[in-house]
Amino acid sequence: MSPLGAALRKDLLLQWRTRAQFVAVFVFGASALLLFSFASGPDSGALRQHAAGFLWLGLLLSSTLALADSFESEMAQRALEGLLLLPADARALYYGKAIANVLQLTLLGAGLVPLMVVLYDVSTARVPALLGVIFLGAAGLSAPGTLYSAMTAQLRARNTLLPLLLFPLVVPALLGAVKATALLLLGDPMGQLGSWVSLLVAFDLVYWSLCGLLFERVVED
Amino acid sequence: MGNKPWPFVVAGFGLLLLAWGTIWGLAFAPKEIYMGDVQRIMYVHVPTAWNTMLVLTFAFACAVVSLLRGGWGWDARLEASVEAGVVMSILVCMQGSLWARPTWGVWWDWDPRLTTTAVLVFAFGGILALRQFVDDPVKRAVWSAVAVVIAYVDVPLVYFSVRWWNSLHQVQSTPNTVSRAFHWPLRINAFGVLFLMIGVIALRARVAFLRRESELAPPRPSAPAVAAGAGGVR
Amino acid sequence: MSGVITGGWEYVRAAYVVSAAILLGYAFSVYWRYRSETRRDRR
Repeated sequence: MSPLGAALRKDLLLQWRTRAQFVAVFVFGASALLLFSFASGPDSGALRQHAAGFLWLGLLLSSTLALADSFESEMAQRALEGLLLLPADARALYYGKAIANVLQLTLLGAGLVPLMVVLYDVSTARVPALLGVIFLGAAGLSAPGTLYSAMTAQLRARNTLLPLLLFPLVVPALLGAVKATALLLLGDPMGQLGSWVSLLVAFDLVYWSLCGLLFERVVED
Repeated sequence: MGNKPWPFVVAGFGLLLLAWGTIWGLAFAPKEIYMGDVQRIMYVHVPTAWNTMLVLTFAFACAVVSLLRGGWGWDARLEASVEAGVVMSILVCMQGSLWARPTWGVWWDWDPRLTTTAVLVFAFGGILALRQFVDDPVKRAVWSAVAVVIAYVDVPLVYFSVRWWNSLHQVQSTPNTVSRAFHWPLRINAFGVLFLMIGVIALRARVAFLRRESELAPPRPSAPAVAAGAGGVR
Repeated sequence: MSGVITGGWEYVRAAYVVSAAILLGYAFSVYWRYRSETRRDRR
């Protein structure tokens, strides 16, 4: 098995074994969506307008928990050092972890969609497209998120630093994902979906390559 | 890093230019047709904005060199230019706000350039916070260089995404074209801010370098990573 | 936006005062930190 395959298998196995944590993160995201509707008020018109924004804010907040968790086990018992001693490229470790994180975040997002439908009274017939947008947005969060999670896992103030570093960075991905989702939910008369998806794809391409390149420097000793 | 006095000279010259440009812009430049006297804010806003991007580009260059070649000098310059860049970005946002209020009636008009600058405050401010929390100087240097590269690459992405996002709602924008009568105070102030910040950043880099020295002091590392001309042995 | 903006000098003044305060303030803060570092070095 290739180093990447082995790393991916390790991380998927890790996620399966810690699936209780995933449930907790999902509940966190769900309660965030609920709180947004309380903060916004029972005006169904306003809730429909902002449904996409609420979904992605909920997902973004949950991602900080999920991403921070993803490196927790590597830090315990100094597993990360052990991994780096293996004759595998650090990049394989990064991509394995990042891919596992994308899958987890996509699952999270998809899981929050039914809640969004119920709370904010929105829906779409274009479900595959919606899942595609969630996947691309999750990829945008996961690429820098995995790198910064590796960095902050080694520090004291990790819970504050990860969102502090990540949130300004992912603004383009957030804008793209929210606009694309809103167009899918509320209608796209002018056919703008393509340009927002392109923005997401561009962001993903840039950061998946850049962070893979830089990861080795973050975990080296 | 040296201890020659050139930063003071350069900064002082920059201050003189700023005084000249400001007086010209406030007292002698003609009034703009639609915006009246409020337009004079541009003589300080545009130079600050230009130089902010210049300073952050320099920070990016320091980050790349720091990652490729190492050296405490480059890390010191990175720390200095990131800090200066954050201060200037905050100033640009405040100036933009003071311009928007009398012009559009709102304190913030989501102009793409201004909004990008606001994101920069948080992105690079976060890097300053990161440096505070990393105790190991080598890790601090490598990680903040990585973070600067990542944040800088994001700048065009943020700008374009905000521009598309905003174009659906907004018609107003900050004026781009400035007619010739207004050029001179603008240029003078631009160079004024430039020279001031070159001097200030050079001094701030020395501060960072000296702090690194005392941080690493006895036993002094013999690796070539410590730049020559560090002031010698105490 | 039509029409002419009259006045607004308070905003112009505020912008220049804020700019001077921040630029000069930052310059002085760097200078004081430089002095305290070099003084500590010489001791």
